[in-house]
Amino acid sequence: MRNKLFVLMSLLVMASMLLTACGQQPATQAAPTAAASTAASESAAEPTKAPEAAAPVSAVEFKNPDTITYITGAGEPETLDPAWTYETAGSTTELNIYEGLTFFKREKTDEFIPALATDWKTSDDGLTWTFNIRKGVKFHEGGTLEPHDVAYTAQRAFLQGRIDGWQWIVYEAFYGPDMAMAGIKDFAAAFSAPAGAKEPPKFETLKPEQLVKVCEDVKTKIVADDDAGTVTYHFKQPVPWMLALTSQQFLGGILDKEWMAENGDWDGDCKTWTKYADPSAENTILFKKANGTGPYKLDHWTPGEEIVLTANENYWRTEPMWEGGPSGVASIKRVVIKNVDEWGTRLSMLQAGDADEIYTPPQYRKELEPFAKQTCGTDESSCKDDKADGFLTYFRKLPMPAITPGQFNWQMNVEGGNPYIGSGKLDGNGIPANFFSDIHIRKAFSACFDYDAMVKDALAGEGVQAQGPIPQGMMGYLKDQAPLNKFDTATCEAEFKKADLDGDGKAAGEDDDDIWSKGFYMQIAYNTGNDTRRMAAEILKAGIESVNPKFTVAVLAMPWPVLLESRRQGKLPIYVGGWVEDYHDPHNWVNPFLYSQGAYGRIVNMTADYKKKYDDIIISGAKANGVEARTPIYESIQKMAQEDAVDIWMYQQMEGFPFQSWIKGFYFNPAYGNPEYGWIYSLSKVAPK
Amino acid sequence: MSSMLSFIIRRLLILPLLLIAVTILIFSMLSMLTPYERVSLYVKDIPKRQGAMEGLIKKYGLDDPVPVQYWRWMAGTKNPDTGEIEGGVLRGNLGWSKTGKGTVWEVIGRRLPATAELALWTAIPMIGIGIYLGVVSAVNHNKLLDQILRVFSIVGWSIPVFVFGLIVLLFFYAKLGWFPPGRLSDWASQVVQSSQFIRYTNMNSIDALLNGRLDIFRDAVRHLVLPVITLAYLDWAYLLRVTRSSMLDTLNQDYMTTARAKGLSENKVIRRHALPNALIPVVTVGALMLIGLLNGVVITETIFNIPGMGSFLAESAISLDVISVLGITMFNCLILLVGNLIVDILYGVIDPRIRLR
Repeated sequence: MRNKLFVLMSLLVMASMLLTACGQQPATQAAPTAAASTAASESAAEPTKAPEAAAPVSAVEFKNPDTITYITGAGEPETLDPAWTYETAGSTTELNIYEGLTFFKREKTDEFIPALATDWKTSDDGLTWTFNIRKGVKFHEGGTLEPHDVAYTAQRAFLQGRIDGWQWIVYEAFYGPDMAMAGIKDFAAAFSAPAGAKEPPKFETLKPEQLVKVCEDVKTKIVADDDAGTVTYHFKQPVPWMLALTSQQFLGGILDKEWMAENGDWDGDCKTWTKYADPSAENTILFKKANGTGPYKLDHWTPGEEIVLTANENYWRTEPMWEGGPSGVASIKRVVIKNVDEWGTRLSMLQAGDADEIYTPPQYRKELEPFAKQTCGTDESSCKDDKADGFLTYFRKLPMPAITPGQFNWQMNVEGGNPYIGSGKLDGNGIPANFFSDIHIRKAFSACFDYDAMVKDALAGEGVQAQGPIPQGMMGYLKDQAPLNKFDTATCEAEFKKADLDGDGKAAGEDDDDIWSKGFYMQIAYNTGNDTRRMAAEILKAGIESVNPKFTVAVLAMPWPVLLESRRQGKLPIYVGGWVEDYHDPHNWVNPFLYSQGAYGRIVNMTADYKKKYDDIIISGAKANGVEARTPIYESIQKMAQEDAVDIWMYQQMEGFPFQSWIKGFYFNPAYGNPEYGWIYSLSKVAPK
Repeated sequence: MSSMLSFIIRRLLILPLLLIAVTILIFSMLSMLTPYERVSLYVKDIPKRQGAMEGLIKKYGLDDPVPVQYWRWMAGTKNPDTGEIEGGVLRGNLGWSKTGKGTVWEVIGRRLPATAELALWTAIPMIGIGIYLGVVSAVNHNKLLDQILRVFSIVGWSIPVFVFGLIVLLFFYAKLGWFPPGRLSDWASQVVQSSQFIRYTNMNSIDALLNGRLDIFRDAVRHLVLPVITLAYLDWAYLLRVTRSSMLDTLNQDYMTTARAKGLSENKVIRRHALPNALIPVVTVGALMLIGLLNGVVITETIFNIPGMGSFLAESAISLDVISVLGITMFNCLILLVGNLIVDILYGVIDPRIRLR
């Protein structure tokens, strides 16, 4: 009896598994689109029926013909307000909902086509830009685009200026580098400071009339003329990257002023702007709402689950964006973006056909090679047939503008002790605070890093050695020159021997009291969880320790909060960390890495002579107008940064995007933030024959 | 009965005090972190401009004394524009969850149904099969079936959940395409989100039945099969061992011999005399397992892409989202305390010898 019961229960479990398995969603059935389900919900009489037809059996089933499903693993947006967003998940989603005055010409990052502007002109001095605004464009919620919407969008973003937002980019453009503050409150305080004041007043102490003046001044910089159909921007200095700004959220992401005000956002009145200044992400009305003019509308965002976009059936574009480019209503009607942290789960979803594309970090890219039906470069024209039974169109080795250096700290903070530099002395058990101020030490470290091992082993071939702060393919990159720094332990040893850390005028190789004889101990930090950076730190450690047994380098994984704090305190001797661009221009590379007030530059803490040298040339590059004038300046900076070994210019990572082979029309444009779902409008989903 | 009632009232009265004690403990631990470490919640990347971190610390009051921050969290803050008090646990507001992108209550409301549904479906095989196999194992003590079941339970108890979960996912989903991860297929998700589908519990399988949508029910169950098997196998293995050992203890008692001597069939001896007594420790273990499931199972939720309480807690803790951690901890504490109370009451019901005081 017992055995029978046991067998019966086992059979029941198996039967229930089979039953539910057999009841799975038929693969080729058209899933109802959101539009269809909305229509159905309006009639409400007939409940939506589940699909019925069965799918043919194949290696990977073709599912949901009108829907593209992206499975990312890099997190979800913080908000969908373009003025607040300063991360790729949000900005890439917004790229499909909102539009700017211009847009990137297909894969080009420095050629632009008209979008919400029909054309534009710039003054001879490069300080004034005027755009003619397109007529007849409708917002998703029904409003009509007018020039004042464009001006309002830029003014709102400027004045919203949350702390640690992207607005420093436009503060710099409209008011100069000295005004590139961390947020609008700092900006307003600096703007209101009396001439010659040493310290700006506190924002809280500013009088209402001073605050109104800030807003009114901003309005003089961005001027709309509804009658003429134009918007004009007045800059403090030439902004050669202006069209990149109007193509991205910085001066793009155009909003409907009237709709915003109706929904409780700022109405453009200079007396009330402070009420909307520096908000938390959730405190703007666009946190989970959207009303743009783009090819997709926001259907819903359920944090932790999915973002769903649906095609804008009233999209204004009737002409192809470029030759052979998309026009009219988007081909793919529904976009589902889900975040799945676990790689194995993402891979399974790709293999089952439930995902059309998955986020694939470098260490997993080889795993997908057996599934590649075609392997491609930056677009489909470069595709080559691969495995006959594969199911992926696998785009490989896509050069992302993302540089990872080992960042030196030339003058470390030892106040209150510094655990990362051992004894803090030249005694073999630590390093002195000015260790990296010695150019020979920096050069030695640069020569002891095995760049090839980094690219081949750590990046599995998905990267290149960085040449300097400017990435491959950009103005200023020395395309005819190999990187100056090479892995060579003999050079490394020679440079260590040339150092003079005790300042006695004798080179370390001939001095019993210096680094070569004494040895040293120090730590290299990276952020916990980033395996690629861990491997970079370990490669550097191996190189350094191989030249002298008295050299000891410890690799230190630091949780993000601890890393932030130690970095701010200026205590880390070397930190492996990277930069991803805001806008596609060399200024956005040399400024963060080398400018004395840049995101990384201020932590590198160069000596005064180097600071002046780099600050002067970076400012001259920003002020120069035109490619011809700017190119030699950035090439010089690139060369200097290598010669001075400001940092160890470790690697530029490449991307790899695996699409199901039924997705067509992909091309790689690195300016899209997350290029894998950057511009979905150009894609289509074609059922396999 | 009156003693039980006073027991329940006492336990319920002590509950808020325990919850407050837990929050004080967490806030005290917070004082060990510097404001510059805690601001990492708001800084996803290296700050671009000087003063950004200091500005954020000031904005969110992270450098205020810990008691001040605690009081702000408990009592709320005054809105300078409207003059009204906003937030405050004492006013029923657990605060804003930056990780979950909603108020803590909203996020719990969104995440708990997924976890509860998983727990509900897991409980059936976990308890049913675990107890049944434990009894079978004990009754067949040292026979082949017992040996097989013991091996089965040791294997189940030993396999790491992420290994077992990934293996079943790769085989039953990637290879066979039977049981997908997540909560619903895309087509079903669209139906569930439409206005024609009424959300009663936000548990998809239950709501599908209440809406009379068997297709949605089948789809929801399809998505639950693998996480349920993963959790149930690992947990029923443990329950099997507890039941087996408790059952063996009971079967060796003198009154069992008496029952047999009275001429009762073996089946009756086991079902009526042995099982009720053997179940007492099993109730404790089983209830704690259920409470554990309700608090969320991080790895299973991660592998099967179920946005539940476990992943919410893990994400909040990793990003030092103190407000979320506090809210979840209070909620989990509440479940644990109420669950324990129910177990204690059940004891009294199952075993008349136990009196609650």
